[in-house]
Amino acid sequence: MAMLPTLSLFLALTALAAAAALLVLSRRAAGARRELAERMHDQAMALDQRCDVLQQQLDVAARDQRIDHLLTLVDVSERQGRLDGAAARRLELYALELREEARLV
Amino acid sequence: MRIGFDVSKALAPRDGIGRYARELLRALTEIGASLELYGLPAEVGEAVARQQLGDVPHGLHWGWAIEPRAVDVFHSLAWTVPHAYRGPLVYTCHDLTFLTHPGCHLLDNKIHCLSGVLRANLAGAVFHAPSRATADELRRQLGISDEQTHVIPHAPARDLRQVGEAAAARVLERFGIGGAPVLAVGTLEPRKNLARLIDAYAGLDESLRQSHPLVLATGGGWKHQTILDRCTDIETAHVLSPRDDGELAALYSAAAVFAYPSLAEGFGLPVLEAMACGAPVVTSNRSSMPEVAGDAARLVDPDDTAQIRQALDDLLRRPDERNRLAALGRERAASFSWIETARQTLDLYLRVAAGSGPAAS
Repeated sequence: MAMLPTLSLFLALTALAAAAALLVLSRRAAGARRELAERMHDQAMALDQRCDVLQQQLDVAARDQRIDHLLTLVDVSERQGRLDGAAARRLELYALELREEARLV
Repeated sequence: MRIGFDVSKALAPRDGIGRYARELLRALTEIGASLELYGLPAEVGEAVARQQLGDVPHGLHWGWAIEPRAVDVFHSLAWTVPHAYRGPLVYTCHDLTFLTHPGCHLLDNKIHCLSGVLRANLAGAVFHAPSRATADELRRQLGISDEQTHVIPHAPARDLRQVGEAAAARVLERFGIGGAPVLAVGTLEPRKNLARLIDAYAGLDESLRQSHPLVLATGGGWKHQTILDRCTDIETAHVLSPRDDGELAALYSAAAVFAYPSLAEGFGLPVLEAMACGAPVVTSNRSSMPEVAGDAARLVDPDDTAQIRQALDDLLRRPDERNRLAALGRERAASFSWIETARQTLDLYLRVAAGSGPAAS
């Protein structure tokens, strides 16, 4: 019977120690989760910026292609007699000005 | 005859091309034309498309895949030419301001419009121009002959009609506008010359400005920050978006003056809409606007702010002159009709499908 208080104290201390250990572990886990979340956020931001850059490059390339196509259309139209020489020169100049404008966008 | 008809912009907001597409579609349907509608956007379902197009009894097609011999003639009316189509083509060239006023347009729009016109020309299209001025510009800019071009004018939207004073007053009240406005309608873009209109308005006497607020009714635009900033500086200036044609008609009907000093237009539909609603009109003496307005509007040099101010000042001080112009305007607007436009367009389809092209118009 005399052992009972000692045993109770031991059990209480053990429970306290276990709770403290759990607390430490859970804080560490929370810190790790936070770090992981921050890392994932940084990576997502970097990917987002990379996408913006790629999209811009794609837009520039698409515009260049379309302006090249305009020049081809002018050339073919002139060869097929659908545009006279004066109109073709004027439109060529216009398309080249569009290319300059595209560089500034 | 099976007619392919581009409805890619018919579901769009109330811009000029969207309005043209919807009004022409409605009128062609009423005169019994049989159409196949192409260019519907993939994200729009059949029920929504049918409802928005006014329950028309025509075939609906998503995208631009036109089977060989599916149609006898195709009408491109939003700058695009279907890539695979090789048959008879009618191409509406709304204007050439992307060439004559390049600074007023966005780069991608200029590329898109020029590409469309060149492809249409290469495909041997018959061009439809909404005004003689646009047909002349096609000849000047691209050497496209009068024999290859057919002029068929637009008309005022049939749902835009003058509304009573009480109904107009309710709409003004909803927007917090006190007094009959100086009204401008259209996209906020440099070509509409709104910066000069605002300067001209700002030069009016304080008492006139207090009695007649400036109202810019718009659905948005581009290169327009200066215009918005300028409006913020003027206590009696309002920028607003009408919810529907009912509100737009009320604004037109309430206007003391409708001001449209645009630098260039292919037609200038708001001029006729304002006239149909009984608003006295001030517009430009350039491009298609004198042709559309006839003698029913006060014409001004759009580059001359003082002249715009003088015209506003004169009309705002003279109700008799406003009434005279409004009466002339109503008469002028009534001489244009979508049914007549549809008849002429159907006649053009028939001739192009038969390979005879347009007669000089």
